[in-house]
Amino acid sequence: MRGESGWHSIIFRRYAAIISLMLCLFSAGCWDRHEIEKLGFVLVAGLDIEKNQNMTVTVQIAKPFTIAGGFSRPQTDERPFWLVSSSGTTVFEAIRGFFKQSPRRLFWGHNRFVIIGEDLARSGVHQALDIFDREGEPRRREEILIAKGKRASDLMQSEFELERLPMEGFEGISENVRQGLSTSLVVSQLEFKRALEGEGIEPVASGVTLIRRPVPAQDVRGYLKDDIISYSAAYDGAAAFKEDRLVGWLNTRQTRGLNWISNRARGGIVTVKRPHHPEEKDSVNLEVIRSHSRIIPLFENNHPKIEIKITAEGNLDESQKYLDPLNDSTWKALEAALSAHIKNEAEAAVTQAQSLNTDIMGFGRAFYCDKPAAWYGDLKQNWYDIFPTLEVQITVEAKLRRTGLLVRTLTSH
Amino acid sequence: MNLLEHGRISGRQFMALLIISRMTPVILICTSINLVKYSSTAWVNEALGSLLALPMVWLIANLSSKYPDQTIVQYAETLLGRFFGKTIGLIFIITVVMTSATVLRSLGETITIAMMPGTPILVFLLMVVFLAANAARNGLEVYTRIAEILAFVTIFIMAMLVILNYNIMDFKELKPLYFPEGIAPLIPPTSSVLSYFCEFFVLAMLVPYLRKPQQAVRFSLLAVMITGSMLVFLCIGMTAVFGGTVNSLSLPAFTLARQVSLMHFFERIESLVAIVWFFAAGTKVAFTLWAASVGFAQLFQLRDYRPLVYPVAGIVGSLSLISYSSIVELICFLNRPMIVFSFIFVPLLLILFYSAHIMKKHSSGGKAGGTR
Repeated sequence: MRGESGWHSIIFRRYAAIISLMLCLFSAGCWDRHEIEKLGFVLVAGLDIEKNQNMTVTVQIAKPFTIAGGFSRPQTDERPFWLVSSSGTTVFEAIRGFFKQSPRRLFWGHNRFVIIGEDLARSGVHQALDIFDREGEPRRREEILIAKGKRASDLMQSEFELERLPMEGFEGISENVRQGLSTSLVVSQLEFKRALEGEGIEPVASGVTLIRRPVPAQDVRGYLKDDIISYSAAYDGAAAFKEDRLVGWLNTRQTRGLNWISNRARGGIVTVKRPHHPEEKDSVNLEVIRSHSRIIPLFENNHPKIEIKITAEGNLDESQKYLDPLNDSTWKALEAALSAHIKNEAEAAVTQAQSLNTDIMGFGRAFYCDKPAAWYGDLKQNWYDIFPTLEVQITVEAKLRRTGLLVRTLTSH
Repeated sequence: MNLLEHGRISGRQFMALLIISRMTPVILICTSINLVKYSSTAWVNEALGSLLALPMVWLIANLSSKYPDQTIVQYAETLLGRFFGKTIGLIFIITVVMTSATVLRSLGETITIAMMPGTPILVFLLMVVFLAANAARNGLEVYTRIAEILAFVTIFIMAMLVILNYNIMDFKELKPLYFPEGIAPLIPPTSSVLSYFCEFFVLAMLVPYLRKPQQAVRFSLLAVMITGSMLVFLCIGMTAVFGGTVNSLSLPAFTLARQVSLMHFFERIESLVAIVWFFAAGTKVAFTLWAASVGFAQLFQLRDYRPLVYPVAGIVGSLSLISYSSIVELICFLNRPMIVFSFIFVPLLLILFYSAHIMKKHSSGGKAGGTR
């Protein structure tokens, strides 16, 4: 065929090869090229609202050249991050404002925390968070922290003694609190948005407080050259939202109660009185290692009612005074004390949520999931008339499993 | 009969090609999810749409297998006479060209949104359409072989995306299975799912090139079942991960890939999805380009279809550029006019063909179809 011979001829092939090689010259560049040395990696971002409704974004940008080399090589004396803020009418405008100040383009793909100032949280977070879903760089895994009584930019002054980067400090504390205390929450951007969009549930986020540490006479704190770490942060309780507005705080006890109910609790210690000695102060520590809860929506005489069943498993961890669990009634009494304590905390959380009138436990969601007809019938419209006086019945069944390396406490006599 | 193409494909390759064609719009912009009103029932639409697609695809495949040595363009002429046959053939080819342009544009938009916002969309459109045109020129066997490998890869990667996100899934998001406004809100998303299955009509161009054309019915129904269950699986995964926010996402599959994070170590795997985008959409464009070129060549009784591929590719490229001015227009087109068009066009064609087929069978005494 004529066409075939032209297409496959040697000369044509030779030309084609030369042309395609030359085309490679053009393919070396591209419009969206970002060299890693030209990027500033945002580690923590703080969002605040100003009096004039402007948004202020504060970011900590990593300085890779101060961290490179790790522990083996002597590090420079510089702080390994740069704290900088920018304002604009919207968050995106503020973020673009960094272009004026930062020689490197900000990269948001590694951002781990979004700290929101209390003022912004109270006036609604939705206005600030849209960009984190819409933009291509951030992932929805960032944790949302609410600065308790502070601006986010204040909170971002904090540093941690054991980590050079505050992001790592926050990360470590967040993990510890989640594993061992359950007195705060870890809520990612995705979970927050899910609760915000979800039917019959309101979002919560962890609260963070600023700790100011005054200079003691005998100064034993860490030094970064002449710079003294005088601000640090701690996880403290949870922020309860109604829709996208912060309406109140849960203290650590209530937060753990919320965690028991909403199945978030992983571990936590509980201090109870020694069995058969109600006159003494609390002296026995029980550690909960596992818990599970079920929220059951019910109708009793046409009135909605919630039943919560919590099961927990724990260990005996410490006893200040003599305790002999081999005595059967003691062990049972300890289990009862643990159950009572968990029930107490859960009730405290419910009371607080009802007084704030926000359904952070997702009781409405339980009705929505299990009794959708009733939910769409009339519960949905009147939910916040019903919720504050909703009858909630909590039953806790706690089991103690192990006693550590001691069975009974050593006696002092 | 003038078949123009000498390649022959197996039933499995045929099925793979159909699977790729149907999965492509889901892994790019999943417009049927944007129509969902109650996110917890999203998967019901996918299941319903796929179930309804079964009889439709059976009708399409069954018709083609009655004329095992003719493509739709040819048997349209056999059945409806010269003028009507050619008109229907031309309309059919134009819809194939439009499908091609839409897929191409979706790919361009997706990459521009997700990965390279600064790059002009034209770059991706030209690149992909040029590659696809070359694949189409090299014949059916070349791109079906790509499709055969790719169908497996696509299904595997999509399944992995869902499975790897198990740690952030909340299966309560899938409850309740309740329709407070009756089935009315189910209709738009279900018809959207079904309208994508209408693209299976292109299989009528493929049947004569099967090694055993009688396998067409079986493998096309299998393709519907496999893609249908994949769609339901993906949809359940997306709903469990994104909850009520799922119907607001423009690129759900990509966003799903971005959520993957195992032990803060195994993450940022969205480039895998981007690979699937390029290959799957590229294969579909190649397939539709090939179908349109062969169709044109048969329509005008040319001796070879290959000289037509580049011109058709040029048309597809420019159509994809000028047909939609934005992603909003693209989604709006796919969610309204496209559904209405498919729902008129496909039944109309089926009714026309089947009635002509029955009439012809009666007039010629039970002997229908060409002889091999």
